[in-house]
Amino acid sequence: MRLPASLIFGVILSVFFVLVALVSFVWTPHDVAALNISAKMQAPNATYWLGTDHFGRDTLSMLMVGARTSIAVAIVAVGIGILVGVPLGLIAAANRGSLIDEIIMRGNDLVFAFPSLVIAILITAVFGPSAVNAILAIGIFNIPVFARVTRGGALSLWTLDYILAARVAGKGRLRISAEHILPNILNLLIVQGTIQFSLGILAEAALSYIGLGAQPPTPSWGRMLSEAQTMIYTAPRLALWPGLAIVAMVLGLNLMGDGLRDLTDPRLRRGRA
Amino acid sequence: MIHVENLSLSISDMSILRDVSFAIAPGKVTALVGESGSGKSMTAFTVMGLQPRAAQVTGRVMLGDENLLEADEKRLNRIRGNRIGMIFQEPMTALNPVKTIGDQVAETLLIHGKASRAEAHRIAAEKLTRVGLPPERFPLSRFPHELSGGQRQRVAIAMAFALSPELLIADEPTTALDVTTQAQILDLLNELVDESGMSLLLITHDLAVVAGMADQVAVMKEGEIVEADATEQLFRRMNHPYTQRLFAATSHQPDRSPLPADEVILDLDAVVREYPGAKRGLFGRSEPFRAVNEVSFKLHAGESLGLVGESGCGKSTLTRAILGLDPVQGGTITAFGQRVGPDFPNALRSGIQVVFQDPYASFNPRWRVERLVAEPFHLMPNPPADRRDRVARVLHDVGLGPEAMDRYIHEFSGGQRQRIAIARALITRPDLIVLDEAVSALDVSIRAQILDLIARLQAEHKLAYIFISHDLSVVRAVTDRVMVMKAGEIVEAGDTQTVFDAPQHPYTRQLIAATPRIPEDWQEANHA
Repeated sequence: MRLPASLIFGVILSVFFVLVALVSFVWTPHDVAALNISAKMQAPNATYWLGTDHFGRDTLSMLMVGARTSIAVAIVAVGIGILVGVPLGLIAAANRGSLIDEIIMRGNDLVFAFPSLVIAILITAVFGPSAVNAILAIGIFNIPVFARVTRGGALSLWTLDYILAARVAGKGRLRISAEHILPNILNLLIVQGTIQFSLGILAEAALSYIGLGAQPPTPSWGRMLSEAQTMIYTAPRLALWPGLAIVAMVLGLNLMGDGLRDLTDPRLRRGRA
Repeated sequence: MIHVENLSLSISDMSILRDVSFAIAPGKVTALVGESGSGKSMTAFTVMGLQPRAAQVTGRVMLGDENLLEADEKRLNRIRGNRIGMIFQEPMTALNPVKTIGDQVAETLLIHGKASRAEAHRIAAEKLTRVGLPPERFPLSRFPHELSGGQRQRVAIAMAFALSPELLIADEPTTALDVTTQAQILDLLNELVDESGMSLLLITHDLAVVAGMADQVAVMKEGEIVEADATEQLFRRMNHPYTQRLFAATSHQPDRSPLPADEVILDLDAVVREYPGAKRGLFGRSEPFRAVNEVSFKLHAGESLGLVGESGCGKSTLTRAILGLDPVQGGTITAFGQRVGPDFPNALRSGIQVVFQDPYASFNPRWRVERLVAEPFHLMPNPPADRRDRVARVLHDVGLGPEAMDRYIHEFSGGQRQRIAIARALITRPDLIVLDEAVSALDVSIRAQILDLIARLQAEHKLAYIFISHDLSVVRAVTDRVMVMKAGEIVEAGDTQTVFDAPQHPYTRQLIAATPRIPEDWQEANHA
């Protein structure tokens, strides 16, 4: 079977960033926390491949560790959204029109009604800025997204004959949700998951950019951007590198999500074979 | 007036149509008959110049002295809707849901610049009146969702007919409709042909519809016309073996011998099933809708009971109640001596299984056949250890090999899927199988095979069937007793032969009269 080029490209980009993040645990070209004022504001050269910032920190090393921060925040935030949101959506769909459905979906509306970034700012402002609080804030806003996608996908499946057949086979609503509904909406969830993952990376960058995400000295792409802002005319490359990293990572995830959706559908699989 | 000459069509080396030739005379009805995949719809689309882009076409489609295959898109757009109109099978999706019916009919006129806006609406009202939707009762401002399926099909006809085309192509125009509606739509098409002198190309799988409508018939099989003649001659002679097979399958009677019926396995007493009314305001609700109204009947072991009615009459709702999927609001359902309800024991529940209509929606696409067929084992307290053998055995029962077990459902055709659905229903060795329109979506030859299978399994396994269908001829062929349902009530019940030969209730008579049939003497001539 031939894989589409866009999927391969997306996987390569995403895997590349994950590898970079993993490598950063054991090796970075320079120590990210070490300030070396004598080597500040260097252009890319043999020692500092992507140059240094105004404290003399190595940009490449900071990008590598920053990838780690972004990915960790996004994974946990999407994980919270899936682990809470998907079961809620399945329960709501299985009990369509009941009180439980109403409570779950109106609760969703409540969370949706608040602008997510504003609440994230509120949470971090109340509990103190830290990566953990940023994760929680982004995660909570992933819950209604997944609950809604899950419920929508599940509702259309509940009307199909094979669900009726499963009920005739004596299976309960929860069991049907797990055995029949969930596998058939996985492709929806994968696509939504990658979108939320890239949104999570963007949200983490935004929170860090305004100083409410990962705290110094932990490097983060968002904070690299905000620190580079004041020097945008003297050293635009300082803003360019983290900006490019964010774009490339988000692009890679989206391409991968699209490709995976096609692959996980057996009907589409046959169509291409 | 339209001559199709040696039309061949292939898509990436796969030959779809081969040397199709026929002529459509003005004011006549020409029918293309065939099973799914025979190329009849592709022929119609090619006549309209709507064939897939990748298709390679040779031959000629002559409209007057113009070869439509050589016309460019701009020229074709002037012909489509103007000189050739078309209506489709599915009235639910053939109209744009966000435009009023008046606008949709007027649109045809406006596109072709044949009328001003006001004029177009006047003509639209005229045409809608002609198809039986007078503006006094059906204002032009109605939206499609406010109309029934038959009424929507009338709007589609008005659209196709708006510019009085020379040729109207009707692709399975009544397949999605109830029999009484079908009869009305066919009458309407007949009248329009007679009045306006246009020609009608009728595409259908239903030989009985053809017998009542067409002047000329062409039988298609695998992209070729195997036989073509004037309708009566074709039915009387049936030169080609395929025509004979198709005909035999249409009126197929499976061999079955009624089993002695004594023990009552299912007993319905004054069953009522209501749906809550639509929400009104914050807490109010309108009157509940009674889908099943005090239905009572008994079913004996090994018996075949037919349930006939048009869409919306409550037959599927009744099925769901019998299967214990929905609660009832009145009366009792007793199966195997126990009342059906939430605490109906699973062990008894395994005695009632079901086969649904749509072979494409009946299976989880992500499971392999073995798991699909074995699903009802869930009802048994101890799933059998020889699960794979049991699955292989029921697959063998329905005529499939054991290698089917490890394949996914999309690898099977519609007929094979319906066999697998029957295998799934058989796996728990039930006493009763509910067949909910189980053969309605199948081609006639496949339908004949499945009916034979159903009859054979009944004899082998002493099965009782509830056979639900809108197709009276099928019910007549396979049931001992029949019930006619209308608006939630059983209006007539009795021996199948008696009910069909001497219907008592006016509604039953209406249903039987509306069912298209091939004239008796045409058939006799054939058998002689």
